[in-house]
Amino acid sequence: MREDSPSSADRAAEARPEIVWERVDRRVRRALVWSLPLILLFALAILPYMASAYTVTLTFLVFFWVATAQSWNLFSGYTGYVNFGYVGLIGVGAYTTAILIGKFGAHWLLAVGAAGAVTAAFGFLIGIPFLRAHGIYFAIAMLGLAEGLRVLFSMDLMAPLTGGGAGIGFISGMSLAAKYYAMGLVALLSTAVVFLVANSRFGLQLLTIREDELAAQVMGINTTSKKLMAFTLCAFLTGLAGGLYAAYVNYLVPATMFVTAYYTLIPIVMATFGGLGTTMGPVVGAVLFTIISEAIWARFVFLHLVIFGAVLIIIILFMPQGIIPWLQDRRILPRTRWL
Amino acid sequence: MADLLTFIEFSLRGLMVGAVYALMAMGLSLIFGVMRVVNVAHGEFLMLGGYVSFFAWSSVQLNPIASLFVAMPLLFFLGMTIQRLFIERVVGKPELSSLMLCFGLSIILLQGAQLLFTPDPRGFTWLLYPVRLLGWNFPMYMLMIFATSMAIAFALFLFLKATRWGKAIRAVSQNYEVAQACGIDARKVRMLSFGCGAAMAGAAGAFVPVQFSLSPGVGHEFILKSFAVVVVGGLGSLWGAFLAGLLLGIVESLITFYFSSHLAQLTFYATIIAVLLVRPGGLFGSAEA
Amino acid sequence: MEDGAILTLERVRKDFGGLRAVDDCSLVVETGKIVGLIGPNGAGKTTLFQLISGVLRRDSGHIYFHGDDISRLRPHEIARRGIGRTFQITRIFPKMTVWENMIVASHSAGAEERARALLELADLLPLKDHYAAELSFGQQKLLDLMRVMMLNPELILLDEPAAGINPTMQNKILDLIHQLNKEGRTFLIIEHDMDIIMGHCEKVIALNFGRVIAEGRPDEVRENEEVLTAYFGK
Repeated sequence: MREDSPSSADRAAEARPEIVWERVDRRVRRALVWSLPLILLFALAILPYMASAYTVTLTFLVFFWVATAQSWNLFSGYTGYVNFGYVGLIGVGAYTTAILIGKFGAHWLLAVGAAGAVTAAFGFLIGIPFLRAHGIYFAIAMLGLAEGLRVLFSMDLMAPLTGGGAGIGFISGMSLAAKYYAMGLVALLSTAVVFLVANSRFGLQLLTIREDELAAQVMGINTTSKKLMAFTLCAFLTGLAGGLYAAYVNYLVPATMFVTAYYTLIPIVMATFGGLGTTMGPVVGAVLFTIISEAIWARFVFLHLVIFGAVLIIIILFMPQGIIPWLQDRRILPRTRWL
Repeated sequence: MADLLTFIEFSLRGLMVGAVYALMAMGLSLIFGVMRVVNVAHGEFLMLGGYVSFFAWSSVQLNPIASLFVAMPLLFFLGMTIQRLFIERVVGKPELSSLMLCFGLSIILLQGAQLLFTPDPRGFTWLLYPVRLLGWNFPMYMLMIFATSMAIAFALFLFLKATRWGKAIRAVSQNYEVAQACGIDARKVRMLSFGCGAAMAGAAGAFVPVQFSLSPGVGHEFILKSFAVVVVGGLGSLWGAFLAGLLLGIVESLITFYFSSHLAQLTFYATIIAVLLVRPGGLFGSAEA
Repeated sequence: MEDGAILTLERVRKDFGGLRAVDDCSLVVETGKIVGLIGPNGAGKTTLFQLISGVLRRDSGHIYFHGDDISRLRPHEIARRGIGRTFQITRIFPKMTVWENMIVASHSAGAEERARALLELADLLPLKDHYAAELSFGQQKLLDLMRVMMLNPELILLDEPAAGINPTMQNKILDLIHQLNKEGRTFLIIEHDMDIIMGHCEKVIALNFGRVIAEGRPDEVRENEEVLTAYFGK
């Protein structure tokens, strides 16, 4: 039994210290909230005209990781269902673009759009059986899916389309600037989608699945259909990102396109570091990790993934909630789903 | 008639390969039963066992059975250390934590192995001569591996059934709270079980360079096969893992023979999906010997 | 089917392996009443709740809500038809705010006003931006009850609403139940505290070994031979 007097509610509400962010003058806050994103957008928009090809390519990769970390977050961060088969979705998107451009000579715009649609349809179809599985079983099934896809795409049977184990090469016809802007839009779109979801009833319903799926069901929430919607949305955004990524790689081989260690681990680390189930966390994580890895780890290429693995362990052990919720818990940032 | 004989021959070959799957999956199941952690890094334990065996052979010509006496204790202590340092901290936390922790470990071990041992495939031949058994020829190494795997599996069953620590493991996996109330040190039991689980994977791994080809990525293929095994046998059930391991070994061998090895690989994933369609919660069990 | 029955169970059965948890159980809950469900540990009370709310599927028999068979529906469909429930161990959404806990449980327009009114009623409004995990145990139970009300349910199943909290909070919850009952809502309550059952229920159903052994007015049931035997042995 604990003490509960009627007034304890009011006292608890009063006892909490003011949030650091809210100590800042209101006008300054408003100016920052509106101007910072605009300045950032403007800077990113003119970047291809100002910076070297290296910087543009690096920023393109930041966009790719923002889009993927955000998509991973959209499903797994909100529902708590760990998607270890994420690379499979990237792979389906990438191959769709590669096949449409390489084999059918489609325009990249069409090919990338189709990559989103095909991956969304794929996500929807595999979601129906896979999302019936709870928790750990889902994680197991998804790990199997990525491997299954790798085998499938390397099969001789598929060779006329995928090039089998030898892979498929193509020329996207995209300039670096076109790739840059397109991936930037996908990153922006992913973040906007997560933002809208986070601030909607749909987002709250997804969170209840993470919190307590059974309780959510008896509160009248059809958790199966919500999971399927989120998973399909995640697949769509991932398909776009994967499709554009293919244009950057230009040559797809199952052995490198379906490397779980790379394309699943990195979005997971970035999203988890920034904060799962937040809006800005994956962005923060993706930007930070790409810059750090470029600045420091590029010199130790062979240790790259070891470090990412170690970072994931450190995050899980010492800051499992991620940086944005960490700041919110310490009352530095306000607790809002806007972040 | 000849068809039937071929069918039986390849079933028997599959059974022998399945014994290795059974060993590995039993370890996975034991760990899950005791601490509700799905050890995603289990395949990397197997891979390490494989390298112990490979280097024991290539440096001092130690045969894989003898190298078990190195691989198993080594993996046992590695497992205990990893459990104590990392896994113990996420026991009882949301499954997302333990899944991602093990995923991180798996990547570190995998990438570390690539650096240390290079990605080149390794292997060696051992006892390759045929032995006539029940009218068929089997390579000698296959029979030896099968017999040894069976011995290890039954040793584990015996350990859980007859020894004090074994009973403590079973008690914790059946009812954690009651076991603690009975004075069982659950933390020690968790360390011990993780060590045993890792040692089982290590034992299975010791045979990998003989039967298959060994590379740092081999664990990935095997963890997926083990997942299929435990999903069929019931996560947490040792007998389930044992029998399902043998069964899937047979199925794999038959499909490889009649169709193709690619298709056999896909069978494992299809199995996982099929079971989850029928029983979305998996087929739960406890680490009952 | 009787007149005025909101919930009717007809020979409902549930086995767990070899154990029969609910054994051809038939009972009726009348509209507008507060009904107590009692019985010794393992009598099948909570299992019955799981069956009514669709969390578990019955092996045989029928469950009628307003005369419609709901025994094949999934939990969220049952909830939307107007049966709300709480769990014995409070299952709030810990890392969501009190306000979000409320809003997410509503599926119709006017959720905000409704949430505000209910939180006001339970004195939880000042805490609306706190994470549910930051509330005291008693406040969490209160939130759980108020969250169920967001469904605007006609029938509410409460699993030990007064267990483990101090008397002040207990009275608050019981007052709320009465208040909501006056609005026309029916309650089916599992409770171990006989004083609460006696003081607040109009009808009591006693369960043992998964079947109804007695029902009627609280004082009648209390004197019932079979009930006494079930609780205290011979």
